[in-house]
Amino acid sequence: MRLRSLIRKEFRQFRRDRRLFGMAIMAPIIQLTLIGYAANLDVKGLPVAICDEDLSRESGRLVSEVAYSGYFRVAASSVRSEDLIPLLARGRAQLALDIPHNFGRDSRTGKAQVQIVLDGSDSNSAGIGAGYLSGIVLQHGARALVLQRTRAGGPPVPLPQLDLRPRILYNPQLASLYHMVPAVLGLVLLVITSNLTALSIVREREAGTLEQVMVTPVRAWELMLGKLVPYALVATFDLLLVLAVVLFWFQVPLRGSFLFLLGSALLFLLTCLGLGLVVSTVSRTQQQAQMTIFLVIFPSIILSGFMFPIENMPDWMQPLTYAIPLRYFLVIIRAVMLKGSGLPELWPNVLALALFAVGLVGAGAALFHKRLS
Amino acid sequence: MNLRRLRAIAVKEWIHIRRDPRSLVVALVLPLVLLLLNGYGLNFDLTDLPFALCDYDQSSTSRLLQESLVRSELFRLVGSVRSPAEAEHLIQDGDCLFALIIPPHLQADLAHGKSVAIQMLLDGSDANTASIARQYVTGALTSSSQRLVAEAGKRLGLPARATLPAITMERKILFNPGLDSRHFTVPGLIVVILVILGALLTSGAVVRERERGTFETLAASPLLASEILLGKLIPYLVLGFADVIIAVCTGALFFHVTIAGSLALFLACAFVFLLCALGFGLLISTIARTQQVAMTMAIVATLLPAINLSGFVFPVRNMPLFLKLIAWVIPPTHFLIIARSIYLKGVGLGVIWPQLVVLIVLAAVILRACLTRFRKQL
Repeated sequence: MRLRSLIRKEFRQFRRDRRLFGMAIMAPIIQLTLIGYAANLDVKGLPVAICDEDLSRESGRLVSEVAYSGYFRVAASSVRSEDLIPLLARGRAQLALDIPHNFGRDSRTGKAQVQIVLDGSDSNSAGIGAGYLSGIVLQHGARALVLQRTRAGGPPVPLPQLDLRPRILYNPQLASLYHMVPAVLGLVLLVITSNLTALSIVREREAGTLEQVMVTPVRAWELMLGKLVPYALVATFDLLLVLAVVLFWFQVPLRGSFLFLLGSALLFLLTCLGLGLVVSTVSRTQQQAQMTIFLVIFPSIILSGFMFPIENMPDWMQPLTYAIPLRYFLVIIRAVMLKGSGLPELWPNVLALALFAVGLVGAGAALFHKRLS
Repeated sequence: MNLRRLRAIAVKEWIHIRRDPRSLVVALVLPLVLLLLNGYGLNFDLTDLPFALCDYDQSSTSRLLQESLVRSELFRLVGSVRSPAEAEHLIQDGDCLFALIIPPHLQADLAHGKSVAIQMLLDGSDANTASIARQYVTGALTSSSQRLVAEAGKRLGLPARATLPAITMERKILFNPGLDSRHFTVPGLIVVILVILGALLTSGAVVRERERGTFETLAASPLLASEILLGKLIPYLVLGFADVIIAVCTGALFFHVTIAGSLALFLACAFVFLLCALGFGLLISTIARTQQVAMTMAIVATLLPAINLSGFVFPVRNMPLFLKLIAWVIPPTHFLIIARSIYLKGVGLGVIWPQLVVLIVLAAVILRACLTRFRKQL
């Protein structure tokens, strides 16, 4: 009964601040859009500058092979060789192909040479782009070789080749979206739940209204639940909203069990609430609470493998990731959605989440009690 | 505007900051911690990709192939499997990223000059890692292929020239010859950290006074709106600038990423950018009614856009048009270009002036908006 009026009070406050309400709904949608559409490391349409000093039929063919490969956009053609580097420095192009004089003549004798100049500052794009560009040049060379042999009238010599036939499991189009979008769910829950919970408790302390509530017959656990339940409800609403957008708008497949996913998400929700509670008890002002929460969230983004795989981190860093609850949730949600995994494969992660949930909520409750008495 | 009154406000705000040592420490330590954590954690250079091998051929050639993969630092052999189904199981459990299936008669076919297809089972769930892995394996097979072609050519008695690639390539890498992704991420991280910190520092500045009821006192004083805002901004500018210097030193000391261009130019641009970042926090502070909203908004509105939209990790050119438009009006996108250009390419004002002009305009617009909102509240 008392609990119900506390919850009602919190919701009334919630309703009164329409911006808070808007944020709780808009924030997840904005984050999803940003991640879903922006998170794309594909290398396509890399701006390339071309210097063709030969201007022969042969070099023209190579240039058009580069231009129509789909990987590049010719940002500048017929550049002079000495202008290539300033062009890259200004960022007009990220790669340059320099075809010297006599390229056409030399390629008939197999002695042709070209130069690829890369802007290495974006090392990832540069490396991949250079790979594509070399591939095109090599293929062009191989064709020239065959042409030359047939022209010479010799018998076609079969030369062995190793081809790679990739079969991509779970995500055949290699859409980064499928990997990133489910993970946003974890991030949204973490940011919204822990931040709002911590701040709502500290705000009462700052305003001095916590003391007022304390002199009423309300017990500490009721007060605590009165704070946690409303935000748990808001977060659950966010959870369903984000899931709906992920499934129906971005059409990420859900191959595993929905109920299992929901259960793990609720478990993760508990850890976020617990985190908010713990932070609220160690902070005096809202600014402190905010800074502390932030100190947790930012490392969580990195260490959870949200953007970059954990296996890729240095060895000393990988053990740290086990201290991040988001890590376990991301493993679960990605595996359930894309691989269709369930409890048999994922139980260690579920167990870790459960331990974190119990530990954080327990510690938060104990600290909360202590601060009140 | 009166300088004496401005100073009074700045001193008052500074006292607020000093009274809360924990927030002060966090504000100064945060760039260090974030840069270290991210500098090591954000790494595009994949190594030790775990893979499984299913070798149906069991010949000397297939073993050679396996060795050439294992010897490179890029791959790590998790184990041999007997069937593709078994390999798929390993991938499902997350024990390996990909599996290679070498067909029977590999050696025999190659000896007859036939091409052989090697199947790769690849876990596509993390698309970025998967496409990089595919790229690596393709590269490894191409070089093995070239060696095999040369051997076959020798056996067939062809002149060496006939089996060499017809075109040779020379690669020249500018600005970051080792293609070390840290040189790419560290300047970017400095930008991201400044955006977030800027918003965090100032997002509470105005709304806090409102919540505590001291706002009315300020409003009743003879202070002008511009004096209050600027006075509040100055201590945070000092703090933010200290953060810039801490971040630059951390990058140089721990990651050996140093500024190739002019340090003074970088600091000047960073100052303009700080105005944008802190101004944005102030703007949030004048819009929100409670600190709770202001601070959550500060995280939501800066953290992800700064990371995802600015080109810090994901190239702007890949984005759909509506996101490109947003990317081009937010300050971090422009400062990121400046930071990377000065850090890596060592260019000067002659190259980066367009971005700097945009930053100055954005700073003016943001501060102007703050003032308008603030006047309305007064």
